[in-house]
Amino acid sequence: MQRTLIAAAAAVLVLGCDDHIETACAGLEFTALSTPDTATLRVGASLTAVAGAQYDTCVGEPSLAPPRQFVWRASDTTIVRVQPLDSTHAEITALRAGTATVTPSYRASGDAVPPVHITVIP
Amino acid sequence: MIPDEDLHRNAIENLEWADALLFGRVTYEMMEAGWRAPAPAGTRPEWMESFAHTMNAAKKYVVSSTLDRADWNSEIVRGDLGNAVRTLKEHPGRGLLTGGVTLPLALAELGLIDEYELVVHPRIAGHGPTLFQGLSKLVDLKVVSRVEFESGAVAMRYVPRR
Repeated sequence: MQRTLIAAAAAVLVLGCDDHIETACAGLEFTALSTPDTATLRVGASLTAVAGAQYDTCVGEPSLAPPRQFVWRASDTTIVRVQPLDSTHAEITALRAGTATVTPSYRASGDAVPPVHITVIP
Repeated sequence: MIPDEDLHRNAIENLEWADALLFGRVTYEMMEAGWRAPAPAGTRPEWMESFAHTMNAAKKYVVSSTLDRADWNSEIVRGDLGNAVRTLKEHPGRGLLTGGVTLPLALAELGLIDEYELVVHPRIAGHGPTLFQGLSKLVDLKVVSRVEFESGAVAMRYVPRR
């Protein structure tokens, strides 16, 4: 017996307009971790982080991915300082011992991508 | 789209039902980048981990004329697409599952898709690729199942009217 071939797609909106399907997408969420995803720093040390990616595959063809321009936010600015270097990189500097999460978000949409988890040791 | 637990569970059921996945290069690389590497502990919910495990374990065929190698439990499919997919379909088993944009269009054009699943989400996007854009003919469908999720998304299965 021949195998069945199924095409699975996730459509955000399907508009029947005469015989034309307007908008649809196929697949699931695309995720790439930020680099590094976890790090341990001594107080005063710093590292350069690269924002990852996270978007649904409705815009998931790589050529249609959101612009890689990010805003960086630290969960605790007394533990780390985040200084953007360019559209995708940021310098994270350890200020005092503790843990903090640094989250890049797309500048255009505000949607967050996978964060960088920082542990600062004395 | 709303990538929640229901949607991932539905996708896992589809993946587990299939004997193999059939991807174009773009979708294959996107899935590999997203799911192959383990995520740091606690960064993904359990239901997303289940999806990653299922995706990792699945046999995959990648249609590509440019990839040199594919080692994510996968084989590269080259040559005439129609002949290659007809051969895959003749292997014993339940079925193949495909997704993406370009490859499903080519397969629909060749009349090789036996079932379509469309998940309609309660969200207006206003952008993104158009599914099956450029298909040279109408494909009339008959609905065979409909499942509504908590989010309001609805998964509908169709078979072509032959």
